[in-house]
Amino acid sequence: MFDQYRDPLLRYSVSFGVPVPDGEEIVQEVFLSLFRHLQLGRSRQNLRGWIFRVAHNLTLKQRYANKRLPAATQEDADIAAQRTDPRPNPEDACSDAQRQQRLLAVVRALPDVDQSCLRMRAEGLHYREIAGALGISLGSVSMSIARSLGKLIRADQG
Amino acid sequence: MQDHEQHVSDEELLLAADGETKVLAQRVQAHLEACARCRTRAAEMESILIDLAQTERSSLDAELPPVAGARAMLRVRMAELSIDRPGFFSWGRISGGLLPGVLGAATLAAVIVLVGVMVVRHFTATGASLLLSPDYGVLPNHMFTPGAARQASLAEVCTLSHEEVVTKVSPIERQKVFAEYGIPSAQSDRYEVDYLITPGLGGDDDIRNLWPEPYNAEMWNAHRKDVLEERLHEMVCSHHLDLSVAQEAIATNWIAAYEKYVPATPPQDRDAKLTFQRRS
Ligand SMILES: [Zn+2]
Repeated sequence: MFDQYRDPLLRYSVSFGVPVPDGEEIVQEVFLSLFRHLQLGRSRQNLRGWIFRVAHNLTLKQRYANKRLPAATQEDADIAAQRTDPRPNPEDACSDAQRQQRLLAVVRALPDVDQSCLRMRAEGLHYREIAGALGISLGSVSMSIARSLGKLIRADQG
Repeated sequence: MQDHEQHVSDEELLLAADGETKVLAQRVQAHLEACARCRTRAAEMESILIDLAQTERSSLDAELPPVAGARAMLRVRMAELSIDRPGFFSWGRISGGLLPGVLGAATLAAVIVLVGVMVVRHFTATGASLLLSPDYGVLPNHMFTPGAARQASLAEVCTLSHEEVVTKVSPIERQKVFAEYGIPSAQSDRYEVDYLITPGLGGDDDIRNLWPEPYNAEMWNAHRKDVLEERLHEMVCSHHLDLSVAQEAIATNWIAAYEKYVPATPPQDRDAKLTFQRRS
């Protein structure tokens, strides 16, 4: 299970601007918590949602702590977010890398909860699992993702 | 306005694609069969989500250190955790703290394996859409690709060689398949347009029998489908299986057919056999 989820969880953390070493620590903490959780005989329902919830909470906490220091990754994210331009010029639109940058910039400019929904979905979680992980309703998750995908599609089509 | 109300909302498309409530999924499926506009929208959303996931991966994965170090670190910490807390395990007291670290680690390994199995079962049981997993797209969409067979006798199927029955899919037909599945031309090199029912089993050269099979699937890839096809051909021609049953099985769910008809040999053996038998 660790091998299966380490990369998805680490990607999740890092994509919120947490540096890789901090993200790695978060993933360790997630699995130690899971170990305790199971040993205490707690619910085994929606374990995927559960590990993402722990990772999500630790990630936001870590990001908040890091924000107090000038963190390069956060600045990068801000700069990228400013680059969000729904109408790129035609030459740029042809380039794959440009397109990727544009998509990422759109995502980084989304509210946290929308980013979370989208990233968890991108890691293959079901809507129900995402709802459990973020403590929001199934309807909110599908609305959030529909809204974000709409923005991405519009940005993509220019 | 009324027309708009008859379409399916983006939220409904997403939820239905995720299997959320049978009733909704059925209603959406029925609508999609009749509505090209919503089909396009669904394909558009799915495609951007996949692109986004791939983008995130390509931009981040190079930064991720190998998993082995992290795994070893976790083992050490878990062992420490069980030493720090004697009696943490319910049976820890019975064993009187005898080598708790070692025992803890052993239980832990068992727990990890158990959880892994549970999670895998959960995925399979819920029929998790393979969306975004490495094996996304390994089953065709039955709406577009139900499978189609030509009028072929058993004798024909069993005497003609593979080369005699396979016709190359024309570029025009390829384009049609990609358009149907909403795959942008920029991504078309990630897919092979393949016959669902192989011509060697009487499959027809018909768009209903063609689908874009992803090249990069880890487990259920084209090689594995070849193994199934050879196995079914062998069974059909030795009169162990009806041709129509074989066609139906491969068209309905070729992965399930593989599980059912290909003997469970270890993967290495299968692969070795595959190399040996591989058609030129
Ligand atoms: Zn419609």
